[in-house]
Amino acid sequence: MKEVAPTFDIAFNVERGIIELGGRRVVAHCNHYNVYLQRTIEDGLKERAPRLLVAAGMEAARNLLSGVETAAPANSAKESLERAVRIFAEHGFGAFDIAKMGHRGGVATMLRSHYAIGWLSRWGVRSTPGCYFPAGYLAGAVAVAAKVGPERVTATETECHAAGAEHCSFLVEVW
Amino acid sequence: MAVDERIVTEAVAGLELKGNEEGLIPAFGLYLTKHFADYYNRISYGLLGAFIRELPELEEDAIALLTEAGHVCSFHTFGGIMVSVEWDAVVMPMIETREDWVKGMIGVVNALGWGRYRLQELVPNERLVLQMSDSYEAAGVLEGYGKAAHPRCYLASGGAAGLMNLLYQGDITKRPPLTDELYHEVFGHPRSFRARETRCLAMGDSHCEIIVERQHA
Repeated sequence: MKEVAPTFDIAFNVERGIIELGGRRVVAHCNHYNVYLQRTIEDGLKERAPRLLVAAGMEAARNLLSGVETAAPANSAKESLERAVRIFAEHGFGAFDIAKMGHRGGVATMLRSHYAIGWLSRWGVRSTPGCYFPAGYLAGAVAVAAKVGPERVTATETECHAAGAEHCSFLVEVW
Repeated sequence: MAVDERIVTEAVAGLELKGNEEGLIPAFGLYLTKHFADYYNRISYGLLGAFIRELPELEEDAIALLTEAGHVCSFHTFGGIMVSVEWDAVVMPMIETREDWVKGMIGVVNALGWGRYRLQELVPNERLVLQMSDSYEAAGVLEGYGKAAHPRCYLASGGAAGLMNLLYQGDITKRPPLTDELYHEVFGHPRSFRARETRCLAMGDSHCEIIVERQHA
């Protein structure tokens, strides 16, 4: 029988207009805002932008997924990663294929990344990979699943649909 | 029948927007994400902080860029919602006046997780005053950087200005195509609306307040 990842609960407080998952705020935004804001950061910070964008993705993922783990602990690192991937997809960022990745690292791919298709539709083809948030999210998910500090995990997008590749590919390393 | 913001909020919250088999959320003519406030706050205030430290003379330019992202957001997200079948089904039956479109949109915003927006004042074609509680931007500043000396809700400010521009400058009630050309025509007009935040949770105020007026009266 296929292993089913544990659940997660999204809470909406209608009085306060707040959505929370894992004790962290969740906010709805569209592809136009997401890629426009990313380009603003890239234009403003130049070569330092990727580091900020990936680190922010990792921090946000660790904050949220740690809270999810606390509320409903996964039975294994594999379960934890599967749930993280499901959260990512249900929140509209794309569907990771992690068949070649585990909590010790590996390669994850994504056919239709929200950021990649958003970038392509607004700005056209990039010269470099542009899925910084997904890369950071993967690193954070692995750190939470493996129960290791963020400094021990890196994730790099090696191919990007927004840069002309067929799909996006991410190399995750744990040391 | 007046617009009941609560009904709108609950209807939008009940749409159960979640990723399809591709992990995408196509809705309102665009792709939505249920994103993480921590991410937006870290990258936005990371950019602003870098400018303040290294190029302080360009701080206002950084703020203008972040606010412009809010304009883009409102044009596409609010605009997309206001011409959607969901809007027609839930909000339109309650709309009697042009100003009801603002009230309906506030009901929608209150389902997006941005905090609770309340309409304080709306002078048709002239002025909008919004009160926000639990702004995710201000809350993120307080948590991550401490009390601020200046207002920090740039997405909310850009969004509020965009709402007035959509309604009174671009006439969204006629459902124009939301093209880049229309965006530049609406937001580039010398009399288009701009917002200023006059109170902010990040500064220690009890709530945030945004005033939207035309650039040149």
